[in-house]
Amino acid sequence: MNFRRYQNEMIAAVSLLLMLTAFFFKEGQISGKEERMNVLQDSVSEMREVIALKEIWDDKELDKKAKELQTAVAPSKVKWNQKSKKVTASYQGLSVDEFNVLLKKLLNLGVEIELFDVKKERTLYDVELRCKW
Amino acid sequence: MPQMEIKQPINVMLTPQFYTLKKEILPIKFAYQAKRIAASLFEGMVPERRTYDYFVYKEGDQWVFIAYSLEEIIEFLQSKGLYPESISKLFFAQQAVAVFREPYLLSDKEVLGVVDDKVVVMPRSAVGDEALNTTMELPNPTKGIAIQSAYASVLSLKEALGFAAIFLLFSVLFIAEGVRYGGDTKAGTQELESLIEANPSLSSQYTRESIAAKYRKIDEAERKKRETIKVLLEMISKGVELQALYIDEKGFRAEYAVNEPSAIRRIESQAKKAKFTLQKSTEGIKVEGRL
Repeated sequence: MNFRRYQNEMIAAVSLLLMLTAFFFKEGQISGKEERMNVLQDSVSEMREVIALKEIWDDKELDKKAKELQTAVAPSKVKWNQKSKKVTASYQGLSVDEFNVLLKKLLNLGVEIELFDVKKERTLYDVELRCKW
Repeated sequence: MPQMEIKQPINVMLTPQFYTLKKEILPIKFAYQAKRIAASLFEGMVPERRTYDYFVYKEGDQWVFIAYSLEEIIEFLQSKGLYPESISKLFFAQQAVAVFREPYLLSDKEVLGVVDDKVVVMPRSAVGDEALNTTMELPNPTKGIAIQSAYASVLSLKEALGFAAIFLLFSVLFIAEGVRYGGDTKAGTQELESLIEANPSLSSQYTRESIAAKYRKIDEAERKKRETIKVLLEMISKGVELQALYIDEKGFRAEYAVNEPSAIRRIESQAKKAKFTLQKSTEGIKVEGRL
């Protein structure tokens, strides 16, 4: 084959090939970047989720915050028993308002509710609560 | 003929060995008409093993027909290092018949001369002691065979370099863009690094997944309990009193005393929407379900 005869076409073809290679290199870098960004984004999202979950369910202040369940009602109406990170509480004769305050505090605390038993006696409520964190 | 090194395209004048000549007086006006009948004029005169092309021009009142095999000519020229792309045009010695009236020395044994107005190759001895030309200024006839266009590159060097420049420019742009994309994940990396810095215990992917799995489970269960309690409390309204509420890890139960019939329908609708089980009795309504 006479290469000299196709010299001009070869110049154009080689430069075209170089351009196509550069183009695919660029495309590869773009998709690679997207992939890396997705992995990074996933890691960041997962990290944020873990941090958020820990803030709710592994709050270091929960010991103190859980005490609010005890102080939400008059001391005479509650029997409080806390062992480490587990609480068993018995509330007697709560008014509607007291019951609502207690319920609101319980729902907003990051504790695991094991038992929440409410019984109405005439106009007052008796509550059994068992939770942990 | 020695091997040649050509840098610029050149014109080549072919001696009679490379063509067959015929002159005819014909009632034809145009060259294209003469060219149409050229093949029939050479029937039996040229070997059939090759393909022939025809070159026609008018000399005085005669039409000059030249049959030539381009394939044979190219083969010969290539054997001497002359490639089609380096040849601009091919001419025939007959086109310069006036120049060869004074014989031209081709080699030690041959000369190019004119016999009966036809350029022919003759033995040197045939011209005797006549003066011989060894150099001459060959004319450049206007009509010839543009061999370069038929055999040379589709692209000229200028065009090829133009295309190459454009392609290379794009190559540089693509590479630059590619490199830029390659190193452009700093923002994401920095965010992750700052989060890890603030929470070093979560630096390991395995630890993160393990902690996430543990707390997701708790989160899901506890959110469900709280949502259930909220729905059960929303059922309390005018004419409805909560008598009992029980919820543990497995399920829940709520009992309501209902004084108004319209409230029953509303509770039924709410329970249906929340997919709770509802039981009606004379004492009221009992709603229950599993977590």
